[in-house]
Amino acid sequence: MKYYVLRITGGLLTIFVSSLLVFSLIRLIPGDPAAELMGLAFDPKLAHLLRIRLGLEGSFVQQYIAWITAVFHGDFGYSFINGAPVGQEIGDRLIRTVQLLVGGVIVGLLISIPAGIVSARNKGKWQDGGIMAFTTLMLSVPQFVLGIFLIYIFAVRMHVLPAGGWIDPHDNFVEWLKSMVLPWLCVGMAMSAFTSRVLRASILDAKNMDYTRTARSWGLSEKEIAKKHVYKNASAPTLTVVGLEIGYLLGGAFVIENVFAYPGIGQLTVKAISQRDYPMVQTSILIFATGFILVNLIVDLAYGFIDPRIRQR
Amino acid sequence: MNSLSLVSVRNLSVDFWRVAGPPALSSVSLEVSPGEAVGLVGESGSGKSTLGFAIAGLLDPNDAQLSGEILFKSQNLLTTNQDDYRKIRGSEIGYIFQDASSSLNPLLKIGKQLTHPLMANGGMSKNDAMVRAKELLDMVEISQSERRLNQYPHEISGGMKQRVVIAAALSRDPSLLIADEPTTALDVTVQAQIIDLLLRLKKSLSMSLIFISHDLGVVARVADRVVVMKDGNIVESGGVEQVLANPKESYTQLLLANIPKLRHVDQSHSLSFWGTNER
Amino acid sequence: MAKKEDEKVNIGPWGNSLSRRNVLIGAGGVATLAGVGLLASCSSSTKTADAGAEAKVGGTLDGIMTQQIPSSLDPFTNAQGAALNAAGPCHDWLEWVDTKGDLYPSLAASATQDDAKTITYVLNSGVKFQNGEAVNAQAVADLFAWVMDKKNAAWLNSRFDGVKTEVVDELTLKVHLPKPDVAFRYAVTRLPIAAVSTMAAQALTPSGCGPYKFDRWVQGSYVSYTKDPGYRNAADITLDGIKMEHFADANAGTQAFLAGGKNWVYPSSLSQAKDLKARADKGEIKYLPAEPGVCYLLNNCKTGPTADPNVRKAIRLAFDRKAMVDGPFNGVSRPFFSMLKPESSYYVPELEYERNIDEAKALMAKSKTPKGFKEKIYTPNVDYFIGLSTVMKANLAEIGIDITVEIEETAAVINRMFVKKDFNMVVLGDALSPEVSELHEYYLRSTGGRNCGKYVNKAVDKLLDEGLREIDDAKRIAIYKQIQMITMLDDTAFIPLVGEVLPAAYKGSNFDEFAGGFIQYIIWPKAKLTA
Ligand SMILES: Nc1ncnc2c1ncn2[C@@H]1O[C@H](COP(=O)(O)OP(=O)(O)O)[C@@H](O)[C@H]1O
Ligand SMILES: [Mg+2]
Repeated sequence: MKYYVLRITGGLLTIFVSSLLVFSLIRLIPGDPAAELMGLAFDPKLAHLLRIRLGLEGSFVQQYIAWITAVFHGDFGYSFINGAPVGQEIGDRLIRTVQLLVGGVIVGLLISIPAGIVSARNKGKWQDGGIMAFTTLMLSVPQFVLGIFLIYIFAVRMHVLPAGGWIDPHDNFVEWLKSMVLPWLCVGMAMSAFTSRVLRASILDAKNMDYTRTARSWGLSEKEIAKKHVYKNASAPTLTVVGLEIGYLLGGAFVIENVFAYPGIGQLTVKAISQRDYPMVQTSILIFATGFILVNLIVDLAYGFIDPRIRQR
Repeated sequence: MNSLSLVSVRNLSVDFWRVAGPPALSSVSLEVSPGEAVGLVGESGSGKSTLGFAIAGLLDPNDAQLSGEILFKSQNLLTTNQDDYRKIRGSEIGYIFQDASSSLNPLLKIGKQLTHPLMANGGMSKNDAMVRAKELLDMVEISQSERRLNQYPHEISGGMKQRVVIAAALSRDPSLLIADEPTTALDVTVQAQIIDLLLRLKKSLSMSLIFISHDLGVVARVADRVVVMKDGNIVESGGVEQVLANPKESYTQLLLANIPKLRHVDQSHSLSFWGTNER
Repeated sequence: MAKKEDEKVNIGPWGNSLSRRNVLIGAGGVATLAGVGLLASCSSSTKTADAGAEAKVGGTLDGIMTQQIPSSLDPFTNAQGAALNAAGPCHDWLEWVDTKGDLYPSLAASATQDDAKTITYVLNSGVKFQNGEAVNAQAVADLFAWVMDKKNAAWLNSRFDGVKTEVVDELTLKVHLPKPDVAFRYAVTRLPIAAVSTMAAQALTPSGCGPYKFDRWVQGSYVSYTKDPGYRNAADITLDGIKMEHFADANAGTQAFLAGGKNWVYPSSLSQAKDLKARADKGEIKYLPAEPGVCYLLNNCKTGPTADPNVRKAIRLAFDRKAMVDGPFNGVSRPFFSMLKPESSYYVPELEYERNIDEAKALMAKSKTPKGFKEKIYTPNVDYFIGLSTVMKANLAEIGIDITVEIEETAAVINRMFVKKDFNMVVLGDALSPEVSELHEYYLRSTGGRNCGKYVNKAVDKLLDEGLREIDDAKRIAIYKQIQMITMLDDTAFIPLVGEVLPAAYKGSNFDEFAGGFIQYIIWPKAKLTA
């Protein structure tokens, strides 16, 4: 229990620190929202007026306090670029990114669990070799290359799936599902590479553990041992890796979102950073930090569920 | 070559594929009669565990090459198929490992670990298995046995864990118990209790016992016969009195000489020689 | 295999998707690349829709816009092309300009340049904004006033400084300029005509008086429009709607275009230009490179070694523009020697010169830095700008100038130029204008809005004044020739490098003028879909 309380307090602290960090960083990097809005049509007089309107003329501390107070009241501010409420846009995007990641992670698990088990069970045989070669390839291919490759195969060559772009599931659920297949596959394949390797190694480790030998001495068959001992024990380290992977996926979401023209929060954040849309950047980074911490918390909870030693700490 | 032997190991050689150099066991022969307690002694790395594992069929054929014969109740285990061997192992041979703390799966409740083989191999229902598991815990003198079934290994002491391992090993009434340094990893006081327990159980269950140890003091208490091993060979064997009182081999003499004042110490409190735990 | 192909044609593009997908999912994790490749090679590469097929009336024109994802649909306060492109279909202009620089009447039935300081617009009658208000002289005058009001931060604000409007009657508007400016009508072609009452909402829900009505915008994904039956020439519109999908990644966008179902991709990536050309040769698609801008090196004329005109001249002579075209632009661009396209009637062929290292070295020897110098070229973090800077670095090394390519985010480069004014050399691009005065005014007038390198030449200022005053074409051409000879060959504050080419491709017909990059060409009533 104490363990979880500590975890949650630590998480909240991290969120606070990251809010402060992003607030100062986005202001420290060179670039001026007003100049960005006007581009080559820059006009110093207009820029000054714009800065006042965007609330950029106060001191740093004033600006931060104003922002964080508003955030506590559920007001995330308005986009510098289009004046829309930031909370609304980020909310929409967040749901889509969660859809992307959850589906991708499920696909990733659907790939990596059988792959890890098959290769561990056939250690050293051709199945193992094939799967390991595949995962090595997946690990070394950048995600956007994988994405373009999938698009090329399934959309350009085979014409069986859309090449990208987002479809509103409320408009057409089936088309939405179709449009999600490649992004999910891309997330899943990328994620499965490392996960299946860890799972394989964990299974092989667990197979060599003393308690497995004990179970063997009880005359249990390898199948029963695997079912009762090996998989459960191998799932703990794998879970940690899955948690980390989801964290990376969260950070790398914009790569996939860019390739598949998917209007998620990663794409929004990158765009907002390049446009110096401070309220948008601040809020989305806050969301990322929260998401990251939440995922880790969930992993910790799940870990505790698997491992009683953690639960009782 | 006694046909009454329970176990009869003949010219057993074990060679680990991945290890260069001499085999772990070279042409070892050993007889264990029903009800007999054989002590296996020798320095660390001499091949005691390898012999124990070989008999119980716990050596992975991917790791080690075995040749010779292991007759169990006149059946050559080395030519028995894996599945039958596994069944013999489950019902006839119990094994107790050196390190109790790692012998049990940390993620499973004790009850689950005890009942699993009873259900999978013994054909018991879950309820029967639970009842039997409780009996087993009582038999190895674990207090509050009912509660223990619902506990995880990390919640009980090292000595108690070893009792659980013993209970599990005895769950199917084996005719042979192999105890591989069962007390090495335990506190001195606990060691004595475990040894006492083993002796009592051996008597009441009328099993044969292969007791592996590098602690001659303990072996002297437990074993009827002593087999001394060195570098994968048996260098001396005989009745426990005879070998300990009158060692022929200089190696055995050396082993004995390294137990300070063996005969003057209360045997139940003997310290393992070579200092600390062999892990 | 032949059978499969038949199946595909019969069932349609999505027909056999299920079975293949099942195979894939069923295979689960064990699906190896080999397997995927096999599937791919088994499937036929279906022919994309024929570019020359019969034009169809109706349907939605579905295009892919890449790179610049709009964050706002307000082209009044947001100077980015993305905003104008994404908002374009709902707008109309007083006049519009084609790539050659010719002006065409649109909302204004006629526009007359009374003299260098006066323009008379006569509007079409009976036109309404999409919100129901009338498009009349007063409405246009109100819009002009809105642009001139500094607090609205319209990006065209400085262009409208001191302009006065006179509503002559319901449909006639006279515009009085504070000083002679015959280029003003071109500036007005950048201003969509919208009702002032809608300005606050333009960023999210654009509305004007164009052929299409704004339908929906999913930020980062697409913006869609439906035909406006109330449009003044509604009968001319053959499309039911327009959808622009936004792909940040030009390669992915091009793949999506090639996958079918989309009418255009703009722009595609330079690396795919060759593939697109090859497909165009086979008749699958039409390839259409757009040349919306010019890449240039801007020198600081006040600070650093570039303040010396000899150095700037030596720099321009050292450049290998062919290497710039072949390298970063993959062979699809062309050298530029002025701020105009060679097709412009104001273009001066005498500006073209060969690379001349000897002369460049001689100029360096005469300069204040005869031993050469070290300098940074600030470079936006865009592939082809980085490529250009790399070529320049190699070129300038030959005349003793040691260049560091300093890569920064585009936002940072613009900030450095305009706000901090902290640079000696910067590489960037700007939109080419069919009107000769525009870029010359911005970069070469001593008070020009983009003259960040503080270039000052009184004679040039005077000539620019004359250029804005002159209505006679031949005389105007002569004036701008003089300006260009001075600024491009001698003073060289602004060194044009190569055209900023963006490859594009489309299927369909009747929107060939799309090459201009302006959204008018896509949405113009001439656009039709192919079956
Ligand atoms: N799984 C194994 N793989 C390779 N070598 C092993 C393995 N198990 C034991 N050995 C080697 O076999 C020899 C005998 O070891 P072991 O039977 O454990 O000795 P003891 O139990 O007497 O200490 C040692 O040299 C040891 O290194
Ligand atoms: Mg041992």
